[in-house]
Amino acid sequence: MPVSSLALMAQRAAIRTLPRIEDVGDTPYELLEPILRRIDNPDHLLKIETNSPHIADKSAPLWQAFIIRDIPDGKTKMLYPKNPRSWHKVYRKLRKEEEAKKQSAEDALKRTLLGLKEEKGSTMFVNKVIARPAKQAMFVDGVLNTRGQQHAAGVSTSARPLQAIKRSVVARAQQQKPHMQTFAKIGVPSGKTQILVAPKSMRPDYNNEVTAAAKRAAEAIKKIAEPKTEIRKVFAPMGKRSATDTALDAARLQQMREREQRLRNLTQPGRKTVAESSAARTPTSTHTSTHSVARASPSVESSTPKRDILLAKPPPRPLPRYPIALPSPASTAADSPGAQYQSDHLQLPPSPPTTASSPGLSLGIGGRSMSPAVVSPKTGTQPKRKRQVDIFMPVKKGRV
Amino acid sequence: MATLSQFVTLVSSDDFSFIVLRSAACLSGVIRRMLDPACIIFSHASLLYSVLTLTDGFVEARTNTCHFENISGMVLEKVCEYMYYNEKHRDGKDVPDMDIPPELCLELLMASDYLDSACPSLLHMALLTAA
Repeated sequence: MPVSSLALMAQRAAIRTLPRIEDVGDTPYELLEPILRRIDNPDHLLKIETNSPHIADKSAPLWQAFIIRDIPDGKTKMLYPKNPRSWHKVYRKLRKEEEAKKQSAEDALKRTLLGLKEEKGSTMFVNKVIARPAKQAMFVDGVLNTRGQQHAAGVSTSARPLQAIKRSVVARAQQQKPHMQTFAKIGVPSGKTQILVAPKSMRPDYNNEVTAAAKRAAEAIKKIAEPKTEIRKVFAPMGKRSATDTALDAARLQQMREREQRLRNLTQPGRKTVAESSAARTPTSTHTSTHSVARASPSVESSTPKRDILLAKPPPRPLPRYPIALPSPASTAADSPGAQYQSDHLQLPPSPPTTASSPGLSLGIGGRSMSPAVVSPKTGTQPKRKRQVDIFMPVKKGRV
Repeated sequence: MATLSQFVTLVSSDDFSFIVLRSAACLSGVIRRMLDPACIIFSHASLLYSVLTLTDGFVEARTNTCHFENISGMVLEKVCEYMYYNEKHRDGKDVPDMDIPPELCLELLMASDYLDSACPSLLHMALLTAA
């Protein structure tokens, strides 16, 4: 029959799903034998037997197979139960015995290992100085060393005790440190050594000048090489203003105001003469005298009614970004709008005195120097008539 | 009843009837003998019955019906499927196994064993070869 019997097919199908079989019902053992033979786990077989006890009656060969497989020397240790149903008990018993034996063997091994460890751990007391057999050098001065054999005792008793002592010392040294050359060959060091080379300063080619020059050169190089630390004076406004700062500022302000007043007096209708103005100016502090002198000539020029610089509106200029203190009420009354702007200027941080020269060109007051271009009048003044200057070539009749 | 009917009825324990070809059903030795009119009764139970009714074979042979009180409908269905599978691949070689769901395989094993138990030696031989 080409198609296998249904029984075989069913058996094969059962083997395929063997792990899921727990209960075989009342299937006879003979039918199940090929399936049960494929069981790997004895516990699985036990479960099936529990559910279908009639299997246990005939499953002896299966259990025997398990015993032989799992327990070493299972064949010799085979026990045959009286009750054929209790083969699983036999298996379990043998298994337990095996486990116990294994455990005991492990324990014994552990103990032996620990015992060894304990032995190693204990401390052993040894002499501080251990006698060591002296090592002899094979060769001494290219010749085989037979000294050790000759002078085994160490000290030789001869007529000359000093020499004997020397010999014994040398022998001992050779025994202990044969690689070191003993003084018997070299000689004991006496402290006197021959000077082979003269010191530098005593040499004939030693030149004092040269050395001094070399030293200077070295120093110069060192100076050049070392990083130069520039001390730059930075005139930056400090956080806190001390009393001197405030006093100085006040003094400067005062000075500015005076100067301003002077100039105003000059330019105003109620004007003083030049001599009077100069005389009024002299009692000012000495350190500003140069400034005032410098200003004398420009102020004379400015006194001419040609240009009214002070009243001229200052050119539009972006206001400084730093905080500006409002002008004091005393100054606001007499000041013109142009001057007020200047007093604002006065609150600025003090500028270095080097720019003092340029204020002569500016509107008579110190502080920030204004560019010369600003000085040119814009409003309310007569513009100078400029001659037309033709920089281009004159157009001739024949030219295109 | 000179000619035997082409179809026979197999009835399961839960009253499922399967009408199959006689040739396919007689794959099983049990069914063949049950349906064979020339077969002589040997069992005690049927002996009395036959004496009471007729002496020509089993009841099943006359009615062309086989009742199986120990085989469930699902298993019997699979058996019938197998019968036809076998008939279909009668001439083939190395035909693969029929698909058997795991839930039925043990019951099917029992049923197949029952249906083929007429020739136990053959069954044992088959099982041995399989193992």
